[in-house]
Amino acid sequence: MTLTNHALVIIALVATSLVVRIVPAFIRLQLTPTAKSITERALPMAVFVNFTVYLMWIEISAMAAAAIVSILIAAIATFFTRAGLMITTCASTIVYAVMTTAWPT
Amino acid sequence: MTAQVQTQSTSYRWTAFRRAFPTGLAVAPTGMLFGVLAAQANWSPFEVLLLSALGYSGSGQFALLPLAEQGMGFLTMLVVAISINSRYVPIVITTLNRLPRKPLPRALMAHLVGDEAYALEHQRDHLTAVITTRLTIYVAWVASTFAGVLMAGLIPSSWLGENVNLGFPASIVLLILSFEQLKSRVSQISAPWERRLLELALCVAVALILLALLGKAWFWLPSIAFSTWRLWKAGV
Repeated sequence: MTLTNHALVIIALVATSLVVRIVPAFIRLQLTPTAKSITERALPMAVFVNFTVYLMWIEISAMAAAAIVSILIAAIATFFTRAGLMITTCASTIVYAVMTTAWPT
Repeated sequence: MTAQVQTQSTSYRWTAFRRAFPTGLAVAPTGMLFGVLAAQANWSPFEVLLLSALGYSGSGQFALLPLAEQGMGFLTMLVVAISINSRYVPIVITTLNRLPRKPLPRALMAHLVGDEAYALEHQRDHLTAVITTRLTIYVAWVASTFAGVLMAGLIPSSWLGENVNLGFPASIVLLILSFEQLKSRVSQISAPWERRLLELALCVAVALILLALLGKAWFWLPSIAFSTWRLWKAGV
């Protein structure tokens, strides 16, 4: 690895941010009411559905049993209780850590 | 009047900071892990600081680190990074009305959007709240990667073993935030409950198929497009 390699990685990520975040921020959209409804409601929900699927896939692929139990705890706590982000995160992470320590793959 | 506006602005800032701070804490272990791995790949603290501040892409940074070590070319790294981060295009489009109007602050705020900040923000958030949320997560990420590279020599190697997943807290936080967003948005679907469940199940099934077929980097845009279409058809 040389200094040039490091610089290329930095430039690649700066260019990526330019392409996927900064340029789209300057798009001027003249939206119809239907298109506005899609971008304000359907599109964000679609993003969150895909975040959910992606994160479950990644974690279950890495450590199946511990991830499934921890994600179930997070899901139940979020959908059926009023436990906040901190408590739910701590509970899921502790269960995950205990299970991966007790039953390493 | 000015004092009232200032008080309101401080209130937005404080509320957003309290909302974002736990998430900032949760991304820190992942940031530190990145710093440690970068140190092992002979990155200096200053280079890591530049990479995190200017590149600011958790998944992109993790992906490019080994590619750079393998001597991959610039174009390959660029294509990989863009494909991994392509989800930001629809994300930014849905947040256009939250961005400042002046070009430079607008570009800066767009650069600071991340998955966690997006999941924390609300459609009607005040600009002050958006800036605070994004900056809190950004600073937590940049600072933790910098701390990781500085502390690389102090962290026991057993902490980085195969059975230790330091990225889990960040994943579970984003998952919980996504669950919360979905919980609050499901009621926006006008279709009956059976149809809502069916459409959501269809979106999940197609996302899984696309993940298996196209892989983690390439599934985002087709899958988000499909889900958007089905959710719109269901009356979101």
